[in-house]
Amino acid sequence: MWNCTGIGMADIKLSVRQLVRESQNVLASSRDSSELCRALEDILPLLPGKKASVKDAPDMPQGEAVEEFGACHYVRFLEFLVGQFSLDWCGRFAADERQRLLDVFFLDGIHHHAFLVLCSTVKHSSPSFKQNKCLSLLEDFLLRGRMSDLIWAQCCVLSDLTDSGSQSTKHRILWEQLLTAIVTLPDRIANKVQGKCSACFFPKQYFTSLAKDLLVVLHKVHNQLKASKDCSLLFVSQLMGRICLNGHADTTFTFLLPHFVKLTAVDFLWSRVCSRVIVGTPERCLESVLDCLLKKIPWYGIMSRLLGDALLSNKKLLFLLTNKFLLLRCYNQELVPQNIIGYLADSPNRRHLVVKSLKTLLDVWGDSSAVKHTSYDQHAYLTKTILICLGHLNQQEKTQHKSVLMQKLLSGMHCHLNSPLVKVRRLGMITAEALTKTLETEGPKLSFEYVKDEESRLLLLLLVPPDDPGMDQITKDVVEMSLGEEETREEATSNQTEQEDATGQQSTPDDDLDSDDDLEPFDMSEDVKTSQVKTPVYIRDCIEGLHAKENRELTETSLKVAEKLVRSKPDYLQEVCVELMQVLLHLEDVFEIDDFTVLRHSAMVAATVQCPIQASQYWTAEFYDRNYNIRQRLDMLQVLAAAAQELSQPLEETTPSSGLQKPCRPLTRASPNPSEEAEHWRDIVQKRIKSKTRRFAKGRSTPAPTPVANRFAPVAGRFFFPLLKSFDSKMNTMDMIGDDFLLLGRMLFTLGIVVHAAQHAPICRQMAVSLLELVWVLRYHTEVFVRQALMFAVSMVILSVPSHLLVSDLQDEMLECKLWLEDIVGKDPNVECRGLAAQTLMVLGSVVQKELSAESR
Amino acid sequence: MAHQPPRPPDPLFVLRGSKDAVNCVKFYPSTHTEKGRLLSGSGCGEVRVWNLESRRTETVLDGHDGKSVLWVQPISNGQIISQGRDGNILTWDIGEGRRDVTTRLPSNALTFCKCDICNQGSPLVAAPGQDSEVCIIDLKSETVICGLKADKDIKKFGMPMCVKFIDESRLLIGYEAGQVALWDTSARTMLDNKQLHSEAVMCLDYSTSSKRGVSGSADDKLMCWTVSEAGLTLSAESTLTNPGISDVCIRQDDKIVASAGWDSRIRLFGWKKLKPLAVLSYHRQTIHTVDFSPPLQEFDSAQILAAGSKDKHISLWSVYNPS
Repeated sequence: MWNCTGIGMADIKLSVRQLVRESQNVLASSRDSSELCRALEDILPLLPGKKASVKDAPDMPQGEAVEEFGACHYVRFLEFLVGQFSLDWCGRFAADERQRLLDVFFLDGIHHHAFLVLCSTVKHSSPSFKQNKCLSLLEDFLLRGRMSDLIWAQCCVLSDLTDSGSQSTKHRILWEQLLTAIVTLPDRIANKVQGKCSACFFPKQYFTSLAKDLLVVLHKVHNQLKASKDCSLLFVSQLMGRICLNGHADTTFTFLLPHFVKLTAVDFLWSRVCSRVIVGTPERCLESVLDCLLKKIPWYGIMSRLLGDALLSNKKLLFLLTNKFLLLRCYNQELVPQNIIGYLADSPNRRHLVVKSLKTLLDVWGDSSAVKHTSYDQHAYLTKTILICLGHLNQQEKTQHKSVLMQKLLSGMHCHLNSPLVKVRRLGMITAEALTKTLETEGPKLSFEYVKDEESRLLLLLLVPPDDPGMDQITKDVVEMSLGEEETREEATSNQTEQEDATGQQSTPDDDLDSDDDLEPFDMSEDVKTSQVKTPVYIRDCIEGLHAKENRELTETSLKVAEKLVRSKPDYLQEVCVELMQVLLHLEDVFEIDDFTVLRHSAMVAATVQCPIQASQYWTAEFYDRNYNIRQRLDMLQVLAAAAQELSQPLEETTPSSGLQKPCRPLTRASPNPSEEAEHWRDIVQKRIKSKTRRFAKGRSTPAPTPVANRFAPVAGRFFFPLLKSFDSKMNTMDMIGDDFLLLGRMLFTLGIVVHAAQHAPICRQMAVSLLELVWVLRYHTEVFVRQALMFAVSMVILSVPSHLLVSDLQDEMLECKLWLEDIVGKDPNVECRGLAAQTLMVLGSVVQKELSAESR
Repeated sequence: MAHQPPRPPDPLFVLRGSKDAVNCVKFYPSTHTEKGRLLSGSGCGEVRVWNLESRRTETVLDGHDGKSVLWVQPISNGQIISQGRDGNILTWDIGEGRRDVTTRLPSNALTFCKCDICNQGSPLVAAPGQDSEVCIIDLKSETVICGLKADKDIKKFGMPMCVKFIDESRLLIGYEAGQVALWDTSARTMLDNKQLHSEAVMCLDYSTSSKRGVSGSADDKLMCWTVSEAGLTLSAESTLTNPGISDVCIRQDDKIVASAGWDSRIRLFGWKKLKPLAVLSYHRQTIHTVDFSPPLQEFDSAQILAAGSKDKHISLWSVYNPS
């Protein structure tokens, strides 16, 4: 009926409208299936996607009619059809008719319209046949790859976007709708049907298939560009951005990236396409796209292939890569900074950014307040990034920027070495070593002493830029997807055979049995390490041995035996103990003796425990003496704390069970002991008596602990007050109020431990008062470490002082403490501090509570 | 109560009288005419023959010019051979109270490597030669048959430290750099070598019946290995408390192996898996040598262990003998 030529445009419009209206009427009212089919068949030729199949009517007007139908009637017609969906109505069509005549309108029409209509229907429907029908249509839509056609269609609209006006606004609105519908489809469907949907709407599958569609579209784009035709990637990149923004970057790039890598390796045009897609994403999405890419790209060279020089023109990209990802974010994977810095260094156009970033990084790294307030992970991330930057510098850059970098390093080193955290100090040392080594290849090398472990080794590895791992690693998944199953099966079978082999071997008798067993070994306990020197037996010899600077073995044996000698409490110990402690305090580990620190420490503690009066006098006096380094002072504090704790323990537990009192073994095997037999009959009698005796109650099963005099109570004050006395005195070598806050903090910890050790001693109350006074003075110290130490001291006071004193004599102090702690909980910038304060408050609360409830009773 | 292992035994008896450190001891097998005896070589150049019944020195042979004797070994009836640091290898006739030097072979070696003898057919002696060489000497004709030299790799192997015959054509050499090498003396080629130790190999012993050998060195490992067509393969190892072994000896019944430690202790191990069995302490200084006797009738067919030390004493022990 469309072959009448010469009909005007208006007529066509009219006739199309008429036709549509008529068939709608039929479809709505008729119950006859053949009539319904005929009505649909009438419209079918007008379907835009069906053009090819209706070759039998190739006339001009038909084309115009199709256009007219597509532009004005298609959406409404689809809506009408959807409205008709019901079990009854659809049942009027045979299955093949339904597919041929009905579904085709949705699947082969104008895809974006069809998609939007279906989506909105699903959105507004409740569980019904209609909903199910729409869902199955959507599923078909996805399975038949219509999504890629949809996206591809959007790539082909170029002209509309450039000219302003209603057309482009319309498009923008349409795109916005489409993007939202595509990206949120799985969520919406899940909301509607509560997980009873088909597997292809599960996010993982849906987005993987979406990624496949994207890849198909990109291939088309690539072909188009190759044929030097125009097309737009704007929609694709917007879609990509939205997908990533909604948190599905991982799924998408897991599929896409291997393909990208493979494709960009050989074809520059592909690099352009990828770069346009990635960089073209809307600014707000760029971060999530890059975040995922940086984690997934295995080598920085690929980064350059995918991004090109886009960073130089795109401000947002530049900000993200040189600023946000390096300074504000923190990643566990070293891959991220490696990718960023490698990318920056990969092209001469971008190289200047490496140096610039390095300088910024060093600034932040060396900032004392940053070191103090950022978390360790963040700081380690900075350090890693710096090391990676160093690995990429070339000779020219090194010489050119040497002085600036060195200066930044030096200022940074200071605050690192000052840090109370060992790990932060080590980061500083490693960075300094690496930086000086890189900048000055000749000349003296800086080297620090630090414990080398897995982390430090990893850090130093970062100095070498990673090599191209080749494409096999990443692109192997592309092929292996199908092969995977077979291989696992093969492995399984081979495993099985191996097992069989193993069992077969086991079953063969082992003829090489250990026939050494028939020879009974003799006692070999006396087979110990021999040493060339005599073990000192007297403390004076031991002291001399420790003095022997050039005799390694003598020093080592003396150090090993020192604790044992002191513990055996010889009579002359009082005279020599100070000398011994002096030697030990000044002893340096020049020979790398095993367990040097432990041996030295335990010897000093032993001496302090045996002669507490002299020792405490010595330690507390020396602590404020001038010529000591921080380590020695820390040692003194440690010894005081350990000795106080040991002294406060009841004596039985502290007697060392050393090898000295090893029970002597009889040399000859004794004949059966007559007394054993005697006991034997006595046992029998006892048992008989027991069985005949009736008992009403049993006494304590364990004997009452025997009371022992507290060894610490008489000397507790000597440990405490002299140490507290002059903490604010300032010397050249020690300034506890200022730089040496580490010492101040450790001293507070030690005082807390001493107070705790003096628990139950009468002097504990005075000590608590003095300690609380000190805490009050220092309560808003700027260093986190000191504040933590203060809170430790306070909680020790709370736990050690009898609780009735807390609510009577010490009531005012406790109230002040409470206010201070509450203040810390509310205002302290450090998380740990806040936590500690809350805990301390809880301890205080529970102790006071218990006391008050006991009183009231 | 857990079973306590027995205390290690004390020595059976001790031979005193050596004028200097005892460098080597060797049992002299008994014949139907003569009872078994013990040979010892000392640092002052004397070779002593000890009577094991009277426990006294029977003969003193002084032929090495006051230079220390490294090695002494019986050859055949009434014949013994000794190697001294004066550079000579002497053979002696000591039968029926004689004490004559029968031959004198110059060996020109300045090393501490002990010789070894192969008594099958015409006796062959492996002796250290010049330039890190090991010479094979035919004792009858007094001629050097061949020299074995790890020529290209002198640096890699260093000097030979100890030698041990497996049979006429196969020889084991332990090198300064820690390798144990298996040589074919007839073809003069090194069949295999293995880096068994981190320090110089000090001693080797080989048991023909079990086809396995053991080596000790200046480090703290005792290594047990098998010799097959394929070469040397490590089969067991044992770690010592104190490093350094100067001699090892496998008992003839392949049950135990003894080591002479620098820490003045004798250690006994099971031969199968080198399981540590006993630590015998008597000596006060480095032990230089250990040797097991064949079953001796004087001691109820017990196999006696003899050890010679730097402290001039020779201790004799009876362990793991059926009582």
